[in-house]
Amino acid sequence: MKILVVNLLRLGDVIAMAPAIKAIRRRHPGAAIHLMVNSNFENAAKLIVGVDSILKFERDRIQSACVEAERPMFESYDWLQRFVEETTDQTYDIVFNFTHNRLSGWLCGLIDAPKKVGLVLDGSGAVSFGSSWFRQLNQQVDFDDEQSFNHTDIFLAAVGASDLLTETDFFDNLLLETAEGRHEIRDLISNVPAEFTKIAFQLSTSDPKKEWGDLRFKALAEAILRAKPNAIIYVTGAPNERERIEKFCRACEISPDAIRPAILSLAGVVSLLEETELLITGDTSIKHLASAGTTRVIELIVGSADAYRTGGWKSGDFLVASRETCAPCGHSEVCHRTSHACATSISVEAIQQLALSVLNRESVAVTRARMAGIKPIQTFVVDRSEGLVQLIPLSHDGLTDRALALSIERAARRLALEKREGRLEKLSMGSEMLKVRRAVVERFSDSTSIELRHSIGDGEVRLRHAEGILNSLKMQLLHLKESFQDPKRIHEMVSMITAMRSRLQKNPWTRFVAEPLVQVLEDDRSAPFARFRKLSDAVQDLELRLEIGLKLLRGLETEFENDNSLKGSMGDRL
Amino acid sequence: MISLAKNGSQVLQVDGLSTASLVNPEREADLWVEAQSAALKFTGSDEPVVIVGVASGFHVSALQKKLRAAGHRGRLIAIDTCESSIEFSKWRVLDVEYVHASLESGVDRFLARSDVSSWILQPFCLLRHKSSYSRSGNSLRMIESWILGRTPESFSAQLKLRPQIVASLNPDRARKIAEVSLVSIRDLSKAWDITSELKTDRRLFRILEELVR
Repeated sequence: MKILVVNLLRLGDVIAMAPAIKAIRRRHPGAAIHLMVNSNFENAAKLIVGVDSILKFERDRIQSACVEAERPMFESYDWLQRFVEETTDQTYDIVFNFTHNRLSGWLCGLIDAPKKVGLVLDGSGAVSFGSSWFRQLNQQVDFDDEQSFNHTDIFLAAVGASDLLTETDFFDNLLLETAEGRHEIRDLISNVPAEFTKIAFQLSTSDPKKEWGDLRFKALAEAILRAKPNAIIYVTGAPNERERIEKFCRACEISPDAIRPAILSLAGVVSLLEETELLITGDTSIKHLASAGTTRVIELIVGSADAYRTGGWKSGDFLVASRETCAPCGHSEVCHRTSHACATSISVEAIQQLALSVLNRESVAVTRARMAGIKPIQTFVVDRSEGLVQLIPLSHDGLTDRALALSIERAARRLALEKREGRLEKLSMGSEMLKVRRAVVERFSDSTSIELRHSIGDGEVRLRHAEGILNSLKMQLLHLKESFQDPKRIHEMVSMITAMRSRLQKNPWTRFVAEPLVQVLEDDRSAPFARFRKLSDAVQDLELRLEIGLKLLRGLETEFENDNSLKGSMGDRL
Repeated sequence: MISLAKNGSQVLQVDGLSTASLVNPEREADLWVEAQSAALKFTGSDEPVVIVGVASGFHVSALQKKLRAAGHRGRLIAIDTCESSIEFSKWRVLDVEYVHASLESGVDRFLARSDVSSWILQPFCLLRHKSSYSRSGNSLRMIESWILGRTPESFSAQLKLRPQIVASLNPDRARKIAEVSLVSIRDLSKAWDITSELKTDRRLFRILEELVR
């Protein structure tokens, strides 16, 4: 069997797909896995465990050949034609497209394979995803942050690995440590006493808007070294960043040997991160390297960095963001603020406290207490008790219906997507319930189970109400079946759905249930039959979401009820 | 006519003009090769490398050495309109395919030649020996434009070599490309026929359009 994985995005995205490659390897142990990446990132692709061969997409070449008048007019076309032919000649059994752009969609449309998963565009430009998870990736651009899944998890789920994620060692050994990488860091680490703590800083990001700033990093380095004299900070960077990094290290008013420039290749960084206990970074590819390894991560979410969709993804990683309402901004959007508020509001003290907490190996509860007085930032810890990443805020905003509903909505959304993939039957609802319970308890650790039960009970009432609305919608649909060609009847139906949707959307418990109705309302151009089909699909989807939502709420209610009776009986005995 | 450079190398003279440095032609050739690194950056190890302008062949020889050292296994093709240049270089540099081009043949016949059609339909790297250009009047510039295919005349000729694209274009819209002085992918993207949407070539160009968007 031959499998092609396509990722034509940037460096970080290539590394973030390492767990998905591992999952593919687990699902297809004997398969040859080929990875297509932009040629500049061939070295990153070589570090991913499980890849047998790399196909280089010469994006820079064909792009420049398209726009430079001194290059042959048909160079890009001739190159691309040959590339597609050679790729098709490999006769792949499955193509996974982990790139979410039209270019990759057209390309995957041209590569022959019996099964394609991910964005594919056919000749007419029609889109297919081959997996509900990739449809989710497409839709979640418009979702609230808390409703979105991390892209790394979407890739994992799309390859059918949701059940592997709770394995304790699934995220181990994702990257290859090379002899070259080890050789690069030999001098950096050779004379460091064993009892010294090694920390890595990554100052630069791909976009100045995402940077926290060298002055803040400098103050942080000095504060950490004052608190931890037996620590060494390695400031990592590529060869083209040497001048900046050396200047930074020289400027730090602490023993020069305690802050060392680490100008390394990617392989070198992988080896260095094997030695360090902590990486403090912005939204960078180095963050993904650390998430794929053992070092803990503190990620500074600044500018267009998106904690929920592309943030660090290893359990226990910390993500720190400002509470600025404009964050995260768009990638190409110019900052309209007079100061870089999302960076300046993340204080050096906050990061120092968090770093010390990580280095002292404190529990999340102790870290929470340490960070309690520090505002106005938001600090999240990556939690994988449910399998997929859930960002747990360190500063409790208290139990609200919205927060609890969003937490359970994520689980319900995950299960609904798995059901659509035909995998829900393989999952045990009992163990899924336990996972959700664990995640809810983790997320609302300050709340009592009575408070949670109360809130869950309210959610159940809301979903039952939605069930009533659904039943009336189903009745209407049954009547419409005989007259769907009648534009007047369709119009009446759409008006009814609009009213239903707005009622359901008002409450956080039923907002998720109402989502499928959007596509029916947005489509006013399709023929009556197509609209009728869409409506039937939406009702089915709505029914599934309700069913899963109610199952989860009832299960949780029972779980918390058992908790209380257990506590009660123990109290009686005492 | 052949002259001796100061370092003892033989240099061809054409119409009374020396075709290479009369001091150290090898050094001059090495400098030219160094200057080509940007153009060679994307060249695959089995892709043809085409040099327009042969002169005395010193630069052809220097390039051949560099490519071999880098593990290049593709063809090396040298084109000139000056027959004596080609003859002079032939005995100096072996394993090079020489193409003697003539403006009189016209672009269609030039592209149809077996020693051109064998590489023009695949990705190749085009290098220009600018000092040969200045000696050749306009002829090497014209040959280069035929190879590039960006002028209306050369574009039409290159298009004829790719009938699958021609069959997918709307004839009226394709004719309008002839009014453009320097043809680009963007111009071609406006010329597709609506019935060709499902064809492979149209879809390949969709990818290119995404890149120039």
